[in-house]
Amino acid sequence: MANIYNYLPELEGEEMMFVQNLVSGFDEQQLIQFANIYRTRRKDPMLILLTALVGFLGIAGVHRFILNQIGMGILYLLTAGLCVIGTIIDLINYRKLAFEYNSNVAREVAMIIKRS
Amino acid sequence: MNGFKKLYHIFIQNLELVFWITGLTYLALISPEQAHFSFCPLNQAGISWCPGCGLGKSISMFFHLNVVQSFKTHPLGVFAIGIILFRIIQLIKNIRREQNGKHLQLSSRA
Repeated sequence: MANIYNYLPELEGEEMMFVQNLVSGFDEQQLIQFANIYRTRRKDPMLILLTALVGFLGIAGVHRFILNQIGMGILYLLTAGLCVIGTIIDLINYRKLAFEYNSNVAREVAMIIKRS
Repeated sequence: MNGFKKLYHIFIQNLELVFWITGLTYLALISPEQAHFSFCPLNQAGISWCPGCGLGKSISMFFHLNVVQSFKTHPLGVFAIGIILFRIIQLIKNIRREQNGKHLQLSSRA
């Protein structure tokens, strides 16, 4: 089983284990294809952290928009991050938020690769 | 001791879900008519132009089946409840998929 480090070295922790498991049956060409597509579509957890931090400056919820949670984004925007409490929770929880999004992306990409 | 650690671990893993459920439950249980402690730091800092001001009270009123008052306090109270409920369901779906073994490559958008 090829190590995911060779193709997607930026992955860490939960995301890395999940993707490693997801592509365990892929051959080299599929792995390269997967890495290319996944890299462009995933959202880096650091991006989520930074955009969540912007909430402290007055514009809250940007990270939610990035994660395609439009309703939540609007809610955060109107309430200054749910009276800042939401922003704080999201800052603690940012890795999980990013992983939730990325795992869905990984699943989709894997399906695309498998079908072609 | 081990039981407590396990509970703590579950809490940490589902921080957001716990937050939403706690929040909605709290709003459902308090009585919005009485003046009470406000969690909002903007409110306490004296900022009155926050567009989301009154959402908490609005949600609370809606839970007490006071729909007209809810809309008066803030027109988007129902919207907020809807969004939060949708998010709660989304998070619960994630947990269930995780328990069933999410290594299945079926792409069902959570």
